[in-house]
Amino acid sequence: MNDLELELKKLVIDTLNLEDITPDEIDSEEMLFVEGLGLDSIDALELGVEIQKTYGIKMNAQSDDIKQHFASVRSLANFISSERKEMSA
Amino acid sequence: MTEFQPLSALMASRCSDDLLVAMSHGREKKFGEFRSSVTATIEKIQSRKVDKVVLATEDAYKYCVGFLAALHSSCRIIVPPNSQPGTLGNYVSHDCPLLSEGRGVPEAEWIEIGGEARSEFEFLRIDPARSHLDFYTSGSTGTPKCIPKLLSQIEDELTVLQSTWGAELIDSITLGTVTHQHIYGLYFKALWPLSAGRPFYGQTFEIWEDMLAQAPNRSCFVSSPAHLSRIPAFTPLSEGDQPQMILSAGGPLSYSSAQHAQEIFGVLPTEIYGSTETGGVAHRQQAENPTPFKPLSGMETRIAASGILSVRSNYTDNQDWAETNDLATRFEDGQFLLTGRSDQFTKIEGKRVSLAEVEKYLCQSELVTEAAVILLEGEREGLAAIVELSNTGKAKLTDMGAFRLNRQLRQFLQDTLEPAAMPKRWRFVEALPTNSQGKRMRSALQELFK
Repeated sequence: MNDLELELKKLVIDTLNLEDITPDEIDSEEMLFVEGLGLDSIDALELGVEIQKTYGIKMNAQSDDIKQHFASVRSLANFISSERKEMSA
Repeated sequence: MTEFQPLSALMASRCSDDLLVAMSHGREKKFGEFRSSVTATIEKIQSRKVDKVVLATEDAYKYCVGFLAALHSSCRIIVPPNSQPGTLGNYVSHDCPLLSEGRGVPEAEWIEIGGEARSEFEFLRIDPARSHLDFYTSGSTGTPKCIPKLLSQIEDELTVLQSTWGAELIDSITLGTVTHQHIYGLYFKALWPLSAGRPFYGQTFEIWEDMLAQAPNRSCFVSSPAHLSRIPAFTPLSEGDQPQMILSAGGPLSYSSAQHAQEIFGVLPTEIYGSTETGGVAHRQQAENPTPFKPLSGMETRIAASGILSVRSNYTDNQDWAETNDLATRFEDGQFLLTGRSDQFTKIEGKRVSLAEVEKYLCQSELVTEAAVILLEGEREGLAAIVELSNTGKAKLTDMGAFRLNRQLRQFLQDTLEPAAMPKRWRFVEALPTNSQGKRMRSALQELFK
């Protein structure tokens, strides 16, 4: 597991106040919403706000990919890394 | 721009076939297509010979097609408390089929909205005083409560909305983050725009980014505190992109959220105060803290000795005084400030939630023998569940751990409850704490989450 994925798992747990679960119990590939972690649409909003605050990433309002970026910890980590590259480029 | 038409007269009116009604699934829906879909739906309803239908759709445009088709077929419309599949099952039957786009109920209990009309239908004006709707909402006993309404009440309320804000919204397109399955979203996101000839988006936008990507220059956002208190760190919209109006209802919007929304979107949200029973009661824009609510035109207010706010207008139930669930301080000019809730209902993210109802559904799981559901006190509002497990449940707890087990129970509840009504925090206990009279001890239950 890479560092960013671990960091994101911690962020999910802290932001949403999830109890009885540790970062290593979350599979990087598992679905964050509906199934898997079973998060809901309010959780999604909170997570979105927190991720933008923590990583300074501006979500592109014209992009249709937001739901895909939020599918799993892995897809989120990939999204954040690629945005970071773009920002430093 | 077109004239405001009462819903009862809309189909019989000479609306141009080219008038844009809505955006649905990425396509423009014009009045000609709308009329033809309503006709096709009427044909299907009439062939079933039913006098009531349950109406539930994902898309608000489809909802409007079903709504007018049912009323033109003299059918009573049942509006269930939510459209989760398990909930629909409680209302749908052979004699009261589900009118929807397509959902998991038996064929004999389902009528699909839309399709090709086989013939012309001669639309006459509907009698709004004889067109009935039954709205179901959370009840204090754990059984949803029925609130009957006449189409005339809906029309009277839409007329007030139009006279208050119609001019501001000319040529704007409506987009919403709230569902049309509740009365606020139904009126503001769908029926009012439909009546006023203003186009609206059929989809419900869960994510701000999605909505902003679609929003045209002149738009009206129909939202709620759930979304307005969670606006991501957007760059403030430039003047040309700012919406004409942002609406919020369902629960109080905090002063700071209102200010933040103004910074980002350039307009101060207009909050609507109301309920399923009373309809829209009053409105405010929080320019200062506190800002009292101003009653809508024709709405009278009074405070009972108990401190509870009562309201009356031509569209409240029976056109008579209706007691709200809120305590208020009233000023001489009729404006008021809300000071608290008066009942055991809980409002979470603007949705009315009955704790008894959540407990009841939880106990229907084979994993659960007893359950208590409480509202957590403190800064993070939300429900918490305290559960006594059955033997099967205990085996699962050992097997998968507390987190995965509570996710499984949430999945179970999803069949009948909306996300807001699902407990966020969970405790599995040997026995629920009770006092010597066998009453559950609320304080001991709260203590489990400290």
